[in-house]
Amino acid sequence: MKSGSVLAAGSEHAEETKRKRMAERGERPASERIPILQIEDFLLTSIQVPLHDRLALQFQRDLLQTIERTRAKGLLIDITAIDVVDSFITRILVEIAKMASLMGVKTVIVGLRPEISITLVEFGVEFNGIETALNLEKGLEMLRAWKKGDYGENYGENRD
Amino acid sequence: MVKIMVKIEIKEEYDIVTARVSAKEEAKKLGFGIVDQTRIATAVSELARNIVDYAGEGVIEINIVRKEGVEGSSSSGSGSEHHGEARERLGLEIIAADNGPGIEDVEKALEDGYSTGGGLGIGLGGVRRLMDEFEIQSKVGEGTKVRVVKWKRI
Repeated sequence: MKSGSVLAAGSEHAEETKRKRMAERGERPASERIPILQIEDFLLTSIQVPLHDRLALQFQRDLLQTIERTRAKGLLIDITAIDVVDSFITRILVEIAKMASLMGVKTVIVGLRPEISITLVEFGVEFNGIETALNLEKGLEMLRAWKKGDYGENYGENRD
Repeated sequence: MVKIMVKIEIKEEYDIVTARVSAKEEAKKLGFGIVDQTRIATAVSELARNIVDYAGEGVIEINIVRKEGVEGSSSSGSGSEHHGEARERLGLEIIAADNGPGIEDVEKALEDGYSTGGGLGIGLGGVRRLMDEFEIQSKVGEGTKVRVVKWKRI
């Protein structure tokens, strides 16, 4: 995939084939892209659809390209609408945070619902290297503090 | 004895979503709370992903199971013990079966941190922790069958 391409472009053969196959299976052709918004120096994205592998990988690519294009300092990923966080999704989120971190971007995941938190702990998943916050507001607060440089004083360190 | 059965063929990644959504719906219909629904859906998601990743294709079955309630409080409820009357307990049984390569060392596959695929290696062990019952049969070259059950709290 070429870098610098416009977000939400991309209707390649693969997309078309996938759509066709979904139609055969009687599924709705969901617009397979997760929107990425910018607020201040940060990117904001909310996962509202069940992530499957290809969508998750697309999301990963889109995010990294948008980081490059916008020179964002922080990334907020809202997962309020996600009802299952399995090891695949965890891996995707951990990878995004690691990759973003290599590009100088801090990632904060917000909106883990209580049942998700319980399940993650029992399941044994660890969000290594990912900061989490209760909601969007707290997450934004965290990123602003981090950008100002007093991150470590105001919030517990959790680096891997 | 009512036994509702849902059978989902797992052939590709989209089927993983189908399987976990069905499992969650069945769990909800059966009256499981949101945390148990999430545990069940997560376990199904993991089992379905194993099928796709390792075997290529397989089947997930969701069944309603019943048992008399007294002795078998096998779930994590440590504090409260029910005495006396036998009450019927309802549970959701998930069977994930494939004719894939099988698992060479099942004990090892249940250990955290072990994975031959690209995952986090907490898959099967995690599934066992999320559910009340866990059985696995696997034979190299023949396939794998995992059976898990979550019982409703009385």
